[in-house]
Amino acid sequence: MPLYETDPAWADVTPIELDDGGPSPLVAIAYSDDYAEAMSYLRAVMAADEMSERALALTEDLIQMNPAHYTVWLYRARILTAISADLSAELTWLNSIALRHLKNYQIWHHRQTLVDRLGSADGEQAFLRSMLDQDAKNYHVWSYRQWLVRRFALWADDSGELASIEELLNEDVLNNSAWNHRWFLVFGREGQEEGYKVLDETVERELAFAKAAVRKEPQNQSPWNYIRGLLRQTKRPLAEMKDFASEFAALDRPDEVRSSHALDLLADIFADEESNAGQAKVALAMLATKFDPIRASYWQYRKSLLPSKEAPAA
Amino acid sequence: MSTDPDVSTAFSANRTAALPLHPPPTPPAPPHPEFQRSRHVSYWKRCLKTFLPAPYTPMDSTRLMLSFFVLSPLDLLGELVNVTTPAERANYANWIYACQLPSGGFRASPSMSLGARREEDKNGMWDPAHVPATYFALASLCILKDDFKRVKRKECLRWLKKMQRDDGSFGQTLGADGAIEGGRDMRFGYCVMCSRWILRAGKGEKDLVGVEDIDIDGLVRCIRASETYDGGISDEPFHEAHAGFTYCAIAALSIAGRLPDSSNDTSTTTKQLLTAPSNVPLTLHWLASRQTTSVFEEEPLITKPWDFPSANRTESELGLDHNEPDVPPAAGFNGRANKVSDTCYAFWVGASMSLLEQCAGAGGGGRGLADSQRARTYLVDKSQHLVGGFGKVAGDPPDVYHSSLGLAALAMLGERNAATGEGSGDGGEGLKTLDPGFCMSVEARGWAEGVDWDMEESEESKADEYAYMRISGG
Ligand SMILES: [Zn+2]
Repeated sequence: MPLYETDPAWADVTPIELDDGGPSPLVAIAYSDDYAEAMSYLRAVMAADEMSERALALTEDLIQMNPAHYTVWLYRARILTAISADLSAELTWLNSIALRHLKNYQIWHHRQTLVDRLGSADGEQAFLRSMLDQDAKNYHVWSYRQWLVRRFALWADDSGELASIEELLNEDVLNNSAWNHRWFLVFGREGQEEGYKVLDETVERELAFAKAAVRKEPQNQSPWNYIRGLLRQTKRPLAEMKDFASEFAALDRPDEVRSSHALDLLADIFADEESNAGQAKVALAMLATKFDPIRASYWQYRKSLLPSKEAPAA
Repeated sequence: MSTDPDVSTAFSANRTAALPLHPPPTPPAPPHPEFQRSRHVSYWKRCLKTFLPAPYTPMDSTRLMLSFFVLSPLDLLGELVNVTTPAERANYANWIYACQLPSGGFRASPSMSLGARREEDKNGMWDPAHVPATYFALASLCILKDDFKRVKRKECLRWLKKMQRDDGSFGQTLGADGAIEGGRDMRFGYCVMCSRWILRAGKGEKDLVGVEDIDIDGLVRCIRASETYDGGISDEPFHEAHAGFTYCAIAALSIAGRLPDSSNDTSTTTKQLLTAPSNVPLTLHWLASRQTTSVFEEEPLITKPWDFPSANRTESELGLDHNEPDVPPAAGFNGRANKVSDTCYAFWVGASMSLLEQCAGAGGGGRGLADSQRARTYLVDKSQHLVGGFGKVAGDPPDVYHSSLGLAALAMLGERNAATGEGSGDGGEGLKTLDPGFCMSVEARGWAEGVDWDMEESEESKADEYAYMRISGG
């Protein structure tokens, strides 16, 4: 049923029909007549670079049918400026679209444009929380959240960011997106704020937090990666973690190993130590045979990098 | 180009598109997990020759991408020449050329075209050339063995240069007031490197005189800035490591010759060039960690292999085949830590590993660092669908995007091979050799090297073009 063709408000517009490029179009889609008609009118108003209320309404119609249409979002953003539209109303509308289309880049780019212009983060953290309730690892939401923290300097411990991460990791300690955001909150501030330096005590707090998470679930790779990252970032030796890793894997007590990641870390620690390549090889062999056999080729490769003979004792 | 780093990162479909292509018939289940070659051929034939159903509407804006994802599998299967006539293939090329813009590059879909009302300076930003679409167009022309005579080579290279930002990243389109629109992520840099390679691979230099090249150091810096604390690569600094972005970065570096070269440490030429990733062992560690026996969404995301009933092997028992009965036979790949296996990451992760292994000297005699046997079992036994194609997650109906990348992953694992005669699947023939950096067959990629840009346009191709212009009224 034609919506635009019979609408007097659109009578002055000559739609641009789809030209599908010759007799054998590739990947033609059996889309609805409504979509085909709306697209024809969209092409017409875009060709005229029309900035109007009716064009705005048309973009809304199309976004409902095809939220992945990237120029329609850019066009919409430009119209909003041109007609000085109410951006708060736009944000409210956008919330409903975002909740319906969880995996869409354009929606989040549009949100960024709007919130940047509105100049306020009010309500954003609560809305993000409702998005994360649906998918706690939604990449777009986490990317937008980093932008929000930078834009409104939500770095301080009382900004609610760190507390929200603690809560999310309490709910699911395997949520690597939350771990990554935590890293961002700690280290993203450097280079963003002049003179800001990450304090030693903050690094200690983070190490303690990650260690506690390992104790909760020793086979969770996220906190192990976090610990290694902290040490590398602050140029501290892996060997600092030898006792901690040994809590979860000891080479002489294979029956009590509780984490392949602990063995992996021990292998690296032994490899760094003089004349301990043999121990490293034992750890890697344990990984290849019993504790992480689907990565056997990888562990064997790691073994091949070690010196073939024990260094002579000094 | 869409949108969803989960489904795709690189070139994704919305999840809504992950629906059955056509109502599935119900053939009997095969007795053993096998690559069902003939079913894949009929799946792709349907995709090529009949309308895609309405749930693909969100991909209407990226049909050039979609068409590559249909043509490439038929090429890998060696069936494109069997299921199409030369005239059809010529028309497909014409359809692609109809998306080329006078100022260089290709629009992402015919549905974007403003037709006769398009004026570059007035409304060109609403019908713009599109970076990924340009790669998909050029790659599809390679697959179709087009002569490239109608490609606006110089214009395209100049436009690609304009798509680069000061920070080294590339955008997707040029928008209003010349703004570079689209994210800053590696997908665009990757597509630029592929396009640039294709446009410069052939014979003939005269078009290239005075064409300023892109800033490759800038792209490498941009990739280094997006390395994460756990060894992966993300779309922007501090974002979470993601296998799709990691692939785009590593493949772009590989095409640019900017992966570190361990076998060639003494070479001063490589040493002077800026390379990435900055810590190859760490990135290999991250990539190796992506393989997982967690293949169903309901399954626990972490596994403890030592709890398997008889997990007591000695190292000497680890031969080429370490496929003991107690370890699950299928292991796919996730795109991020602690997520479930997803078909497309068998390609994104597998290809990244294979490119990085080469520079780390870790090929292991071609066996690779992933468990390729379990990866193959994941693909053919878990995500392959009865009607052909692959689903996103085990048990899902097939969609074009995952079916295409699933097949590419199988080709990379060496589902051999029409040429070597080693049989596989119910059709008795395998897949062409895949180029992991370009995500198409080595044969199709090689076509670009044979293009002669200086050769005058043949009368025949002029005639084709003329015939097409009459049909389209252009
Ligand atoms: Zn996927």
